[in-house]
Amino acid sequence: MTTALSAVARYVDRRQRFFFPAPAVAVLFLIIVLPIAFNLYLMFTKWTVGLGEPRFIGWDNFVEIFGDERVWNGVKVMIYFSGASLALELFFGLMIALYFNRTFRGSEAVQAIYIIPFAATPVAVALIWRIMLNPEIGVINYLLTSIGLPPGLWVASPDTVIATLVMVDVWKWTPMITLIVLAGLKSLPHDPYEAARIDGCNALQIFWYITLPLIRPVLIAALMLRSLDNLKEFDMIYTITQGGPGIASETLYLYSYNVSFGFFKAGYGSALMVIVFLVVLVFNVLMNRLRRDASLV
Amino acid sequence: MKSALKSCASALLLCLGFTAATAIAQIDWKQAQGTEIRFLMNKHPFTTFIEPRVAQFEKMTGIKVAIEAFPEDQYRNKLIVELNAGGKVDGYMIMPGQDDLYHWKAGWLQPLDGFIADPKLTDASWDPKDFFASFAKSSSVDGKRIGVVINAETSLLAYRKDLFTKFNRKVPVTMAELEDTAKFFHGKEVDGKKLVGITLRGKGAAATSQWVDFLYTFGGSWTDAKGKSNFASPEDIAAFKFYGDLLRNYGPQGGTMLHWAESTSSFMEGKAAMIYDANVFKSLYENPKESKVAGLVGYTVIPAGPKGLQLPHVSNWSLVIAKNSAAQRQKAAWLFVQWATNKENSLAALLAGVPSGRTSAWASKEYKAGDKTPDWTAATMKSFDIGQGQWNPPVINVPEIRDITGLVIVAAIEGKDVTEAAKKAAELMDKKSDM
Amino acid sequence: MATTRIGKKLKTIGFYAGAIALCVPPLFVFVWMILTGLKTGVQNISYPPEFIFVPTLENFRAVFEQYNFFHYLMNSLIIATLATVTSLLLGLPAAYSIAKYRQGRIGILILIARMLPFVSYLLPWYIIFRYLKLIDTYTALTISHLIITMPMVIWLMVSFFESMPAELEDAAMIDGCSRWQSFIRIVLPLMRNGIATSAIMSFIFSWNQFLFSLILSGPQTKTVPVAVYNFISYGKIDWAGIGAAATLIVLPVSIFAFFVRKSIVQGLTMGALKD
Repeated sequence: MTTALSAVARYVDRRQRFFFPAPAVAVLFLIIVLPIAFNLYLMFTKWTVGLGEPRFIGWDNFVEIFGDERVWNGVKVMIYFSGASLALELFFGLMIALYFNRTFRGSEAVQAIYIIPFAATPVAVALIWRIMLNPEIGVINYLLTSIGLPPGLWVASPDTVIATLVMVDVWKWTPMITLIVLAGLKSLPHDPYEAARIDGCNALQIFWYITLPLIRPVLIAALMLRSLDNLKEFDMIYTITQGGPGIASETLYLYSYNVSFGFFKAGYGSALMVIVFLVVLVFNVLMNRLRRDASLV
Repeated sequence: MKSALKSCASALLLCLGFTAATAIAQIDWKQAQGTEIRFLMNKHPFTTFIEPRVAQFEKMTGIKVAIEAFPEDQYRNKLIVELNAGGKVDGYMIMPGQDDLYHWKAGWLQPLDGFIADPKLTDASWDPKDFFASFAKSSSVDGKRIGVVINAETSLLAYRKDLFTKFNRKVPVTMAELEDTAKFFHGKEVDGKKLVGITLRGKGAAATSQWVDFLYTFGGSWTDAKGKSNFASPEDIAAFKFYGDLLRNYGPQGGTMLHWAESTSSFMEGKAAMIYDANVFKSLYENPKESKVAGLVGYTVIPAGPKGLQLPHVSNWSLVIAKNSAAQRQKAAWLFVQWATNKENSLAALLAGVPSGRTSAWASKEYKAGDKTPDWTAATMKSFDIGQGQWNPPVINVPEIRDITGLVIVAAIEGKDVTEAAKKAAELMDKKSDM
Repeated sequence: MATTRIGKKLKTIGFYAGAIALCVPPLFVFVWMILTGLKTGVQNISYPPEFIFVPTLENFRAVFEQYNFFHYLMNSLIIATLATVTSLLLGLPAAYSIAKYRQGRIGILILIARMLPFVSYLLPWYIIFRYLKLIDTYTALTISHLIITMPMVIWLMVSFFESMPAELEDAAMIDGCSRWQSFIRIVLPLMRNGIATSAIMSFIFSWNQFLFSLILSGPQTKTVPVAVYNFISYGKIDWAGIGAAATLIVLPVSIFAFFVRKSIVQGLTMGALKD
């Protein structure tokens, strides 16, 4: 009995590279395989949820996508929103990490306050932003006008809605980038800095020629991690604007949600979601390549 | 011939059964004792009203009722996902006129005629004839009764009586006067507050429910005689334009993001001289805990259009029973629906500000004696009388077509080229409509 | 000498200016959230907004008594804990193996799970869970949250394991431990910091999950992000209730983040970032 058990144990032990990741892989696979199959099937069908069986229509959904103005609007909004928010989060994240990299009195407390938004529940804080941004009764416009600045329409105007959502996204997620970059900065080697100081480089030169190249892989890793959620940003846009005014802030992802769960056209919705997936995939593949190149430098 | 005789006879028997039941008066409320049922509900004033009373029903019947309520958008998401997968839903709320065709075609709705006709299941005091005929009709599909109305809705023009008196303005009775009145009040300073003339819903699809009253009143319609979209017709375009201009010129800022909550809160804060929205929101305006204008509001029906038409819509929320539920649970669900819509609860709901679908509630002494807003009652009654039951595009995929309509409303509010937007939407509507 | 002193002073001023600039936006939103919860309905739609008012605890009372919030908080706590523990149980050995044997392909599967649009899971999952009679159970919600928490744990832990010197484990092997034993007795205790970090991140992301919880939860398992939506009703948004509820939801995770911030940075520093 004991020998049989230990035989099994030894068998498992020798195949650690299989048995260690197996449970996680199996569970993840089980969770995602049916939804993937379901969507791959649905995207070739026309189906309103509940109305009969899905009807196979081949590539028609994708033909429709090309003629659908809201798809192109969604792509545009997605690029504008994600481009701006990711760039700003990366920029501010880096700057603030550099700032926190120097210790000063009270820096701990400042850091602790600064990262709160990162942990805060998106739908909850988005609702609070929604009332604060209300152009008629919101506190933000009140404060602006009381210091003599003109009030804004914020999310109530198609011209400013995306910029406003970017602002909220930056508020919420820059702290996460900061934490990652700060960790990266703390693990940088000391030698290049010593050498630079001896050579008499100024702070800007040190940043440009030493810190930035060294930290680049970390920046890209942070960008990739953030992009997974940002390109599919849902909770915040859904809570604050639901894609409005009109469709001015309707990202492709939100549109696919509206088609599937607002209009209940699950066939077409699945096709749209596949497009969203491809966008995220391509972005990540490109970034990964960039990261490999960066780490070679 | 023979079969006709047969059905005649059975009808007679049925009638006899009915009278017999009347004589006995009370059905056996304990007949489904021990059953557990689950209702999905929209977070509607009726839901808020009925939830605390459910314990009474549970005590009386021994049925356990689980009510799950969600805000409307989330409610619809969850409901459809569950119904599609055959989730354990025994009853739920729909808006006939928006949802009935879809749910009926999907086979989710249990016809109620069988329950209503069964004297063992339906107490004689429930009296189906007591419901407003128009609402009972709109809760039917293909001649089958599928729901019981719990909230009879229409839209009314609400205005600030105090301001109208102060500035000596008359209540507008035509659309031209409405615009004129909105213009008059817009920008006026009252108690240090800058007024807006009127507030309306402007957020795309959500705005269609009130916009449709303007559409009909301007002589427009969803579809033409051939069943094609009528958006590009001069009447429809005039309605889009009027609604959009009114909100842009004399409404709160950021009109395209005004959902009901934003619109009503502008009015309740005292910033707007008028609001056109659902009559059921009276209970918000008149609640001093929520509103600064409680007691200051007057109500009237929609002003008449250029050709003298005056056509608001009437809509309702109904309780329905899920086809998929088991027989015993359906029985229990019907007892619940019946109880929730009985005369006593309908009256209590009306007293709590939820417009009931029962004529007896409105006519009751209790209601009339305590009615603090008789003009609201009168306007609601008039609106029920002249109102249109068809308030959504005559298609199955109502949400999608409402969404397309909403884009034109948004374009109109933004002051864009309405004719072009309407033409584009008409094409899209014809392409996307499922009949 | 004097110039460096002035320079130093300027620097200090700069630091404190920066500190203020960083603290104001988060604090402002949070203070406003709490104030919203302490006002009445009328006060919340007042313009100009009221800054000085008699606070009421009525909303917080209503949130607990009428809306059963304690139940939802417990649900969220249970589900986030279950999701975190499961993710660690499954994710730690996987991450270890990926780090040790450079199993990049497994990483790709995990990444794909993370890239799929979450909305596309909803319909099929509901059907599956309904079939398995798991609707409105902690199990279903925990499983759905694994999509987010497990990749997070693995992503973080792979880098931690990579940063660990191999000699330590070899020494244990020589002492006669099996690989399992050495993993549990030697490796994991060394990774305390990393495990804490990934557990916290996993907990936060599960606690905040909205979409899966909306569709898969029922009356028994409703979580707080879904419950906060209950304050939106027909024709009105109960801002006071939302303020109170949001405060209750956000406070626990914020306090959590407040206290473990250091270990997050330290944790990330140790690994995570070394490609």
